[in-house]
Amino acid sequence: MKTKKKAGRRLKRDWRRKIDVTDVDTYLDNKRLEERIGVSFTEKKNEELFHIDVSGKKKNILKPPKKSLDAPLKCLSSLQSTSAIVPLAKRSVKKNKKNKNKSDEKFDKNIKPLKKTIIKKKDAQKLNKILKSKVKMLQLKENSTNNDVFNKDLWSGYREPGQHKEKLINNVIKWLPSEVLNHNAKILPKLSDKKMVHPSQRLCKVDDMKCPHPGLSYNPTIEDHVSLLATIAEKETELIKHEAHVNRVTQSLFKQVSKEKHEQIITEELTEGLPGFSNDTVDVANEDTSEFKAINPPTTRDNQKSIKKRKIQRRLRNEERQRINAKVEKKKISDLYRLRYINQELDELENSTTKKKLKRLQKRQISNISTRRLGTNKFTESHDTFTLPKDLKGTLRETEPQGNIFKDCFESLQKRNILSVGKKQLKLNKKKIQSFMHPAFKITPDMLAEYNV
Amino acid sequence: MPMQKKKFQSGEGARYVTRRAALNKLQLSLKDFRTLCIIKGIYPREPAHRRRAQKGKSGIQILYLKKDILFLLHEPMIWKLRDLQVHLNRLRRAKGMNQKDLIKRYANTVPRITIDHIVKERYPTFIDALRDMDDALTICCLFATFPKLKSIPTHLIALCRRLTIEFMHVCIAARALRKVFISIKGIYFQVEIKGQAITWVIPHNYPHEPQKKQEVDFYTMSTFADFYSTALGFVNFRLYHNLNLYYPPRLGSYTAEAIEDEMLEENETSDRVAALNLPLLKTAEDVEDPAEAELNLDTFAADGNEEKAEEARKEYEKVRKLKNLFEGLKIFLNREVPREPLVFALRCFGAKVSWDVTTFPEGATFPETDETITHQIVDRPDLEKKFISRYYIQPQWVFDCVNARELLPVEKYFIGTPLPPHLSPFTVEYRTQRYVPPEEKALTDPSVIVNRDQELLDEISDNEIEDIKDGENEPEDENMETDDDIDEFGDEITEEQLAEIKRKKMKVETGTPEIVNKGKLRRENHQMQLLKEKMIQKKYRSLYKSMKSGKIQRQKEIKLLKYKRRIHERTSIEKKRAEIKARRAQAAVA
Repeated sequence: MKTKKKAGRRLKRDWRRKIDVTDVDTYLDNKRLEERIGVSFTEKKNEELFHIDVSGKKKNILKPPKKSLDAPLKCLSSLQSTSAIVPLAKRSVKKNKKNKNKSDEKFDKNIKPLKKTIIKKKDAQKLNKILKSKVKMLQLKENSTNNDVFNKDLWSGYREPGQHKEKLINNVIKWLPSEVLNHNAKILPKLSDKKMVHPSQRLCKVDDMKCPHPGLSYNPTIEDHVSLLATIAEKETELIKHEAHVNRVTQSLFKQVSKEKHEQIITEELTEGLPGFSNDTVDVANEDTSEFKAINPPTTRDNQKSIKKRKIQRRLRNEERQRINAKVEKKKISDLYRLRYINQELDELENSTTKKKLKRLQKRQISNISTRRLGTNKFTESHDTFTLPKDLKGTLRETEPQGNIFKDCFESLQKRNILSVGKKQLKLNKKKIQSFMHPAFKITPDMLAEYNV
Repeated sequence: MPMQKKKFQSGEGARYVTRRAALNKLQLSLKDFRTLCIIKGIYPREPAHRRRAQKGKSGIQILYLKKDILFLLHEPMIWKLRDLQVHLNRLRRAKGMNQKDLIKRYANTVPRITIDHIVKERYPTFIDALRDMDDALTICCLFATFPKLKSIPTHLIALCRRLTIEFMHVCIAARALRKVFISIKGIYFQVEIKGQAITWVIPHNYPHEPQKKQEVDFYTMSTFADFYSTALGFVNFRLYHNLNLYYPPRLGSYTAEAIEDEMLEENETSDRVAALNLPLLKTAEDVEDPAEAELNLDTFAADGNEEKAEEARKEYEKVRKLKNLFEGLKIFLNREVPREPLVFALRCFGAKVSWDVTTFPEGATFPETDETITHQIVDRPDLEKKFISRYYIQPQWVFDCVNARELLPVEKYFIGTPLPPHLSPFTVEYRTQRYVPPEEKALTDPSVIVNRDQELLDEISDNEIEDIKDGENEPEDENMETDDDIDEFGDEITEEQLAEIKRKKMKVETGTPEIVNKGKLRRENHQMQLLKEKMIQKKYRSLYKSMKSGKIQRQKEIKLLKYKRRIHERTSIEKKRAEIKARRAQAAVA
């Protein structure tokens, strides 16, 4: 390397400006060329250029070299330069990828419209896109017809997706200590030993669908039919009774008057005491006939208590007080005697409370099996189906089907606590259509008359 | 200061979540959540203390267990539901923008949500799945009867139609039908597969009755149908393969796609019943037919319970007979009878069935004029043209035969005659002590003669009038227990007698039947019973007493009813006899 004599050496800048690097460049160029092309053939030995093929037709499949422990990590390979030459300066080249063939990739030459037409390139691409989707759809349809959905035995020899992997993980898990598992469970939830099991839910066992009443037969025996009707009638009478009770407790507690009468009462109340109204005169008449008498009239001198009477009263009062005092004293003594029985009483109390508790628990267990209240609305059983004796024809041709199986199905689901009871939709929510009259439309009086508006 | 305990962070308040909270946790819409819950089998719960579970709030909210919701959280189906939502949004947008090609594309590529793994998860074993088939079949059969409706996808209805027919075919192939009951609601069938009794209802064959939307939530029910149809499909697959049958069966034009296309075009021509009358393809030949399959039952009892074993053997014998009940019969259905239940019931027991070609062109195998037809099922008072070679019977005969597990005599079911009552096979005998009239006895045990009036009258007509009174009193006398036969030994024994007795002992004599003193035995038993009763605890004594008195009362009632019946029969016979006498006297005068 040559350096100029009079040049600063202190800063990097000085070096860059004043140092001649042509020799370095030429050296590097030569090196690169050598790397690219290789050493010239004249310098190479015969063994390097040629080799005798002994293996024959079979090609040696080279095994991938074993990784040594010292080898750098694979993830760092992108950071390493592949060139043998040390780069002159660190450069970070930003490659601007311009994928020119992107649109061409999507373009499938195999798919063409049936009719040959001349179209622009842009439109052709669009058309190709649509056609492609159509072909895909057709393929899907074909597959669906060929492959039935039910094409495997779920309960034997069928492996769920991901089951194999799970097995492997389970095998690995066996070897790992629980602390490690717990530590890693947050990152890899699959590592956790816990498995989600389908929650077993006890359902209401009652199911009316399973066992129809023999009286429901289209041609029942008289006893069965009568018993069915009797049970239904019993239910109905109970319902009527309950309704009557509710009515009595709510509606009939309050006096009900018609609207006109109500108004009349109000006017009567408001006009009370005013002169010139019929009510006033009636009151006056009442006053005339009956004499006024207070409930507790003031005492007079005539009915004053005598001294003797007062004395007797005082004596009686004193005696009463004494009696009460004696009773209290007596109670105190008896309580002292009772002390030894208190323990026994406490035991009895405890016994009774535990019994009550048990009873309550049993009741809850029973109600667990029956229909429960899941939502705001309570489940009410609908009316049972039945036929009146006059409608029983006795032949299959003439029997009229009763009841609604679909509704029964739905209600049985509700009864078994599978569905919560919702609100009954009394009318369907259809959007109201708002209609407007065109502002330019003119209405004549004859039109109104015609439509009776 | 100690750590303050916060309310509802443990115990019941922490165990339950409201539906709203569940929706937030799962990030699903209410509609999707409902679907997911139905398919996964997660239902709302009622807590023991509602106020606590609702974290102090009053009112009634729909509550779920937190555990259940966490269970749902791991379901891969949730992602599919979200994808579906995105797809439907795209479709909606395309519709709004009126982009026809996009609409078509999106409408045809709606992602399909497979729920196979959920079926497996909910029914870990095949038996579990069979146990839950009751609901599945009822719902699928209902959906199969629906026409094209706005609120139910057509492919679901088509699938239900296909699957129910396939299941019926399997029942026919396995001869699995056990009970049939015609009620006013619909027709109940019970089949037995792998020891599981499956009961379902099919509606009567009438035009579809429009359902009231106020009463039933169609969307919910269609979700149920979706799940159950999938389960039923896999159950069908397994059942077919167990019987060495080809699945899916080739039932002519009766495939789900064909049905759907027909429904969309609104001209339904394919015939369910015709599909039911077709034979199935077998995958393997030389396989034992379930109708002839025989099982070698152990002759010795397993747990020493011989009675039970004997019962089981008898039951098995009955079922084996039942499987070939209609074997070799050729039955023609008139056009007014409901074909579907009849074809199913008849083919399940090996009969050959056909019907009128002019009204139902598909599936008829032989014409009405065929001379080899054994029975013709008719449901009208009279027919113009009749063949001598066959019985004309009403449809109830078929169902009663199935329930009785025997070929019943056809006389009662002849055309035009008033039918005997159709009894339910599903009744559970909860009262053992009750009066059973001879008519009812005859239904279960045909060896009992129902009505002896006719025979008696026949005897009378032979001019041999006997005193029936005496004849009927005799058996009653026999029934009276001979209590007074007490052995009269034990007074005094002389030496001679003793010697004789000894000599007798040396000899070998001809055996005499051992006389069992019934009265003594009974009295001993009674005394033992009294001793036993003494041992009853005090708290159960009153209960026992009431039981006993009830038993006695019921016995009395039965006796009384029997007595009444006897009196009634006797008076009726006497009346008839008097009538015959009078008639004869008149004839003699004339």
